[in-house]
Amino acid sequence: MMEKIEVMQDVLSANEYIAQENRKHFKKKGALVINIMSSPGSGKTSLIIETIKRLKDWKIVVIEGDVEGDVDAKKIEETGIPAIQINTSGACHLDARMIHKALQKMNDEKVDLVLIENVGNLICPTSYNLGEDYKVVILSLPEGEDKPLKYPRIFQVADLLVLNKIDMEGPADFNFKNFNKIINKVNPKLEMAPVSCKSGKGMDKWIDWIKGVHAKDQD
Amino acid sequence: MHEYGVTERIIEIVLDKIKEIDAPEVKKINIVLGKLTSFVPESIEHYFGFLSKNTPLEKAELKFIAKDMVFHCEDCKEDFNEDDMIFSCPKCNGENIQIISGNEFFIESIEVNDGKD
Repeated sequence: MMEKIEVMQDVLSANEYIAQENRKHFKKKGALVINIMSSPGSGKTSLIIETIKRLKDWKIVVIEGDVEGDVDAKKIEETGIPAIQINTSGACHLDARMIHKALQKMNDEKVDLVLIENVGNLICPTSYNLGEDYKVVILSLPEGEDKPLKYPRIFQVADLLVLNKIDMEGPADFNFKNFNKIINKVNPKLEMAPVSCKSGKGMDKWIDWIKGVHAKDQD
Repeated sequence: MHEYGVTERIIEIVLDKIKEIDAPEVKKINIVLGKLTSFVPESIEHYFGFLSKNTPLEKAELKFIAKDMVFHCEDCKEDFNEDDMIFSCPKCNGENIQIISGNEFFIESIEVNDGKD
């Protein structure tokens, strides 16, 4: 005889629980935590490196998520900042459990800022909270202005959109008028910081945003 | 690979449940899945096929109960049941849209063989 048993259990609740634990750990360290998400090649590592250069007095730790290898972690460590590498072995996103393991590799010292570089992907990272304070999505101009229409969710969960490679506006054929219309449709409240990690243009606004949320976090 | 981790979690939850109720075998797992979650049922089934091997779940059928996206317009206070993401209200064109449903992802129930005829 078949018997139906009620379960009513959330599949992602374990991740949510660990994310909350991570949040408590990060708070104890005094850290502002930013989860940086984007497609591959849009400039996550470059943005992190340029941020480190501009926040010289801050104690920063970077958590690097990649499917394989430690290419980006090595680039970060060249700046003198510790990078904790996570290899997801095939998984297309970081989850709270992976961040929990990375936390165990951090010492007890206070930290001002933890930058988490998620795996390059515009879909999967949206489903997993890591225990971060803010989610930032990067879109680079060569990817095209239609991306928020194709992958709306990531642009809705993000607290800030960094529009990178603005130095490539001409060759990328990026239509700003159209882009603003699309963003207004997908998430009219989304804050934006147009930057060029290469030339440094617009980086002040991004740094000001970090300082602003950091100050708010300390209240 | 997006669905690999969640499939592992589904198996973990169901194994815990049958241990608790002392059931030998699972015939069916009923899963509620919101259309906004971006998890693909076929992909979960694919991973389930090999992750459930040699467990009391290996013969279980996965039944997905799709949950539509429901949006609420803060301007005209109407609710809308939609198959696709909407960004503005179909009635008043307002852009103050809240997501009411579509984010669900939970195991609603399991069907087990209780060993009796």
